[in-house]
Amino acid sequence: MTAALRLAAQSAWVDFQEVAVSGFLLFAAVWQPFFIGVTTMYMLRHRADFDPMYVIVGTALSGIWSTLLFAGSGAIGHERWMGTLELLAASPASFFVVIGGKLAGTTIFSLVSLVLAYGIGAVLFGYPMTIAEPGWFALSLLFAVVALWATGMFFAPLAILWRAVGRFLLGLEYPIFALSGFLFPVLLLPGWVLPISNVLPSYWAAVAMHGAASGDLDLGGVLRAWFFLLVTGGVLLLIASRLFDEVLTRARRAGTLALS
Amino acid sequence: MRIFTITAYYSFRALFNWLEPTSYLVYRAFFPLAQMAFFALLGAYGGSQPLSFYLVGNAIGTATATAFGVSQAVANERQQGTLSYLLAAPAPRVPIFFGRAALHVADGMLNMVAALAIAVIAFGLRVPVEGIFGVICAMLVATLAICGLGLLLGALAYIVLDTAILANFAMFIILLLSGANVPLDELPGVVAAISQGIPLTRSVAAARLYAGGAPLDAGLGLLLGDLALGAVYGIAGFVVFNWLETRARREGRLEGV
Repeated sequence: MTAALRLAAQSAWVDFQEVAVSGFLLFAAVWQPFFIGVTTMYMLRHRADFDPMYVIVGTALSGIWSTLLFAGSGAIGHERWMGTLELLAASPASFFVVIGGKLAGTTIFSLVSLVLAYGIGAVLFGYPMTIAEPGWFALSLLFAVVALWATGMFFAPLAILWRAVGRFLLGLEYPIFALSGFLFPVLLLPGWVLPISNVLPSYWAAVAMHGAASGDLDLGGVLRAWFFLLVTGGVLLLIASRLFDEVLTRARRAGTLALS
Repeated sequence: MRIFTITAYYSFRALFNWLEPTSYLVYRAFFPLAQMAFFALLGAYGGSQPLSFYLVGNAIGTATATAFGVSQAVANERQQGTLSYLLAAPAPRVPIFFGRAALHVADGMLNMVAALAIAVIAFGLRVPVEGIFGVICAMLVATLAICGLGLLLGALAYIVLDTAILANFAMFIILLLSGANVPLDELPGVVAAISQGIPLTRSVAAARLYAGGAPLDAGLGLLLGDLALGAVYGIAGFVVFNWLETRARREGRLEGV
């Protein structure tokens, strides 16, 4: 367990340094949330019940999601492109742990979106920013980050096993913003899509973080959101671990790791 | 003309993996339409403008996706290792450069028609019959103007290296400043002034006029303005490309354009 954690930490550190200078992921974590946050502030600020924290939280989640979506769906493909996939697969270290650590590094980096979103509200627009339940918010953020990391882990093998699915995943940015209620309530969507929202970790992340920031959720509501956040994230992680095995099994059986 | 046509065809075709059309469907259809629906719903939630304001603005805004294809059609030559062949060829540069945008005009129009169809079918947008021709003109001008911007971005990508990031910047700046989502009079003075130099600002305004039932001549001035702006961007792209080519020849490093 200690060895696995050490391996994950090393992988996370290497990835963090790589991501921090990647123009594309910097755009996803910094510039895109900046534009989305500013545009949304302008679009929502006329509402009678306007709460700038709602935009801040939604913007931060959009940045974290976009970063993990792109990094997750390209995590294994990137190793192949770098020529390190064969070395990783052949090494005795767990492939799952290495990629998990790598995405953990990206996840930590993506938190820059939260700082940036706060800056948009507090500095650029000059709104007073208060979090109604700071303790609940901190825990919600922690659980949200873990569950979104798990979603990234789910995407990583998926994009390799089925390339068409991998390409489709890249189009899931805005649909997930909408289905998860990052910047507007999901009740605006047709009723038939709500069950889809309910199985998304990103939806429960938004429920928990918006609820804790605004104080609209009581303890029972927050606990319920945390529960579903961890369950949905856990299920995706479980499926991901099977898919990682499938990636290696298929590649070894066919002897085509670079093409698996 | 032959070079223009061949360039238009192959540079467009090379952008997508045609063995599996999912790339095309995701990048050129699914993504822009999802973006339009998202901002329309966000606008509806904000409630400061009628839903039609956001639907028309973002349907025209889907033209921004065209900038990605055009800029990549220019900039990918280096990535795919064909830049030195292109620069060594005796073919005239004007059809080679501008031909890269040709099919994207038709593709961009197709995209906007799909966006408008979704706005009508899913969101209930109503465009009066007398405004339809005007809206189509606005869509055409918007696509042409964005293609001009895409050509400039493609040429600039030889300097800053990353086309996708440049095009993403352009897309979000346009969505914020063109009036597609935020009324121009709400923007700070300097920013509102910048928005006048952005392609789509006038096309979006004209499309809204036509969608409201205004006669064709009501928005012609706006459309001509956007057309001129697109031409300026396109010519600027050609100038940058030519400058880089001249410098590369002088310094004897074609791949280093």
